[in-house]
Amino acid sequence: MISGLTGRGHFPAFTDKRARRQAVQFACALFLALLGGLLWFNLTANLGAASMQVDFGFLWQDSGFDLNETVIAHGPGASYLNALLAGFLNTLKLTAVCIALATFVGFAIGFASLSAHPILKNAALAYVGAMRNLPKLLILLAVYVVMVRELPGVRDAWAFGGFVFVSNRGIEVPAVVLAGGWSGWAIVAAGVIAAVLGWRAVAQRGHPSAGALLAVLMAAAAVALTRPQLSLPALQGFNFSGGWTVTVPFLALMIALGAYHGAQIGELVRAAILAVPAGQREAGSALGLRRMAIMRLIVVPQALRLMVPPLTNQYINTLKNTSIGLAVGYSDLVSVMSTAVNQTFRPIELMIVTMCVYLSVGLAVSGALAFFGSRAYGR
Amino acid sequence: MAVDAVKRGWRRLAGDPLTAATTFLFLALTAWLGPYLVQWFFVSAIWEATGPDACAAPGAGACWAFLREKWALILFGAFPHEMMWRPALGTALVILALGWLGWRRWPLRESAFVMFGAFIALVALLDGRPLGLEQVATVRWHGVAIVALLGVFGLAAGIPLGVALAIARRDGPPLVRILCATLIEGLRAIPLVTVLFFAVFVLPLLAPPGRSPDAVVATLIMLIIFHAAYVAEDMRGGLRAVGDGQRDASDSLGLRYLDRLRRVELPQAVCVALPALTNTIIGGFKDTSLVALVGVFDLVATTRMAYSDAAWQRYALEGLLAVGAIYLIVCWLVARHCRTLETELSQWRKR
Repeated sequence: MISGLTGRGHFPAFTDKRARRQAVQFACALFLALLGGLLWFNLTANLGAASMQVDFGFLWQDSGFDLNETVIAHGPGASYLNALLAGFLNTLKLTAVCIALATFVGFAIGFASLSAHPILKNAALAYVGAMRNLPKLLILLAVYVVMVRELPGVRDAWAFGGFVFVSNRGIEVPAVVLAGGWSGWAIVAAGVIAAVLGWRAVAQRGHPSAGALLAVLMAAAAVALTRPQLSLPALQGFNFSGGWTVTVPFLALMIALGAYHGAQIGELVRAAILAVPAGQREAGSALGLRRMAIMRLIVVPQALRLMVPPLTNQYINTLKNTSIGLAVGYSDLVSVMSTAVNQTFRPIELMIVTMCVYLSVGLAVSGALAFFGSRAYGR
Repeated sequence: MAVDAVKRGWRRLAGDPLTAATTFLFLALTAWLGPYLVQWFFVSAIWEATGPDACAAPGAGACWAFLREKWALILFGAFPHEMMWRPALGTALVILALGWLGWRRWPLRESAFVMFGAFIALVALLDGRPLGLEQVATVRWHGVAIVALLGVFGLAAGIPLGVALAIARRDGPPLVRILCATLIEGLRAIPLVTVLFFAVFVLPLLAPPGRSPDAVVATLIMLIIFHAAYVAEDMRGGLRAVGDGQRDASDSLGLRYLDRLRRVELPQAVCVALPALTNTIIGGFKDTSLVALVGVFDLVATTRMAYSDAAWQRYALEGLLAVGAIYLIVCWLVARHCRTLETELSQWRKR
């Protein structure tokens, strides 16, 4: 700056810090514009050679393939958009189950690794160590091949009480069937929420029995509207009919990702509990509290607060890692995208859609965390 | 003394009912599963066999004969059989280079030279033409060679790029900062599998016509950028922890910007970021196995190739266990090395 002012005759970009930054910025913008232009030129040339162009119109065309085990129905006559939506809902379904399982495993492992019991502690630490050093794809494949090898065929399915069957197709469990399918479940959900809110509103005004009556009436109304029926699985020919099937790929993914992320969550639970100052524990025992009470009343509430950010991170990781479902043929978003790419050869459009979906879910979760964090902790 | 130790051990294993119940549970589990596992793993395992029939005998345990039969396929895939020494030598050179640099504690310039040399050597050995050997196309580069190429060099190039991204994100002009932040956060929000799909399907469309990169090169490029995003995030935390005082002190000593980064800020930032970097490195190395999903044949993919042979299909677990053992050993060594570095660095910092 000074040399520029004293006029040593340098070009300001070499001596003046601000001018230099602007020059860097300008060069960067120019470079990006050139790169973007080059990529666009290559893209149009490559697509032009195949007489194609970037066009999202195909998303509304018939997909021509079937997807099984989906939340919303998808047949060959449904559009690609519907296939992607079905895949995305499958991703969410798997993520929700894996998160629940991994959280359970994680807390168990976290507490076990802090236990005073030498065997329990070392077993937990060994489990975390093994999971940290093995690729998740390998764990998934190992679980999958063991299930395929050890589970019996449909006709020799292991029966538990005549209404749960385990075979190499998956687990068949009794299901509740509602009139109207998904709208039925929506009515039930609305009924439950209305019953709980109504009960609380009436009970708070000092009429608990009236509140209970109201809740029962609402539940009865929901039942009357949806006419629930129990559907039991039964062997018919070479297949099961009725009930609800959880397929082997889903189970394998659930076990593998639950175990894998369970170890990661165990690690962070352990770190969070260790991060609570020892003085807190000592203060608890000075008050005469027992070990369990100290944990439950003093340590865990403070540890939970430290846990929220890394735990959210793990949940987002779980969402991203469900994409390995492709390896065992589970129809998640990435696997539907891959099928669609192979059929249409429109990787650009499909990649944009897929990446935007993951980006928006990830951003929504981090946004919710920021909101929740600032509200809950007032920081 | 001995009596005391026994007493203490008894108290820890059976001091109160809950502890005793836990111990009993573990003993019962060992008594129940242990003999079965030992039986399967060692006693009734089939070590040598002329064919898969021996493993199908009733009561047969683990079929290690599967590994004897398919070890070359698992380690080297479809690389021409008589030239297997090339990927073997290349991988050995890479391991030697890493061991040497780890022992020398990663001196900056030497690391760059040695890693670059190892990369050139590996690629030359695999391709063959630079050494006057017969060419082997990249589609037949399989197994350990792919793990060495993508796993090691994806990270080796991704780490410096990530450090550069972190610095550009902190110190660059606004436009550069925004671009780096978008790149880093965007890549961290999407699964690696989609990034690899991008490499295999979209990258060729963005390349000049007729010069599209093949799958191995494309996945290597995207892996480097992907790892860089994670390293940049780790380094951001490290750089932030160093604080402004160090910058002001360097300025008052008259250090120039690059000297300040190299001699003052980065060494301290790496110290702080090392635990996070260890996680990123191990996670990144393990996730190299995901290239199997886009048609690049790493160890997992070659194992799948081995057990897709209908005769040996039932012994897939044995193959996966062997590959798992390789990953377990490598990742454990890396973690141990990083812990050593951590303790050494913390001693250096205290001084």
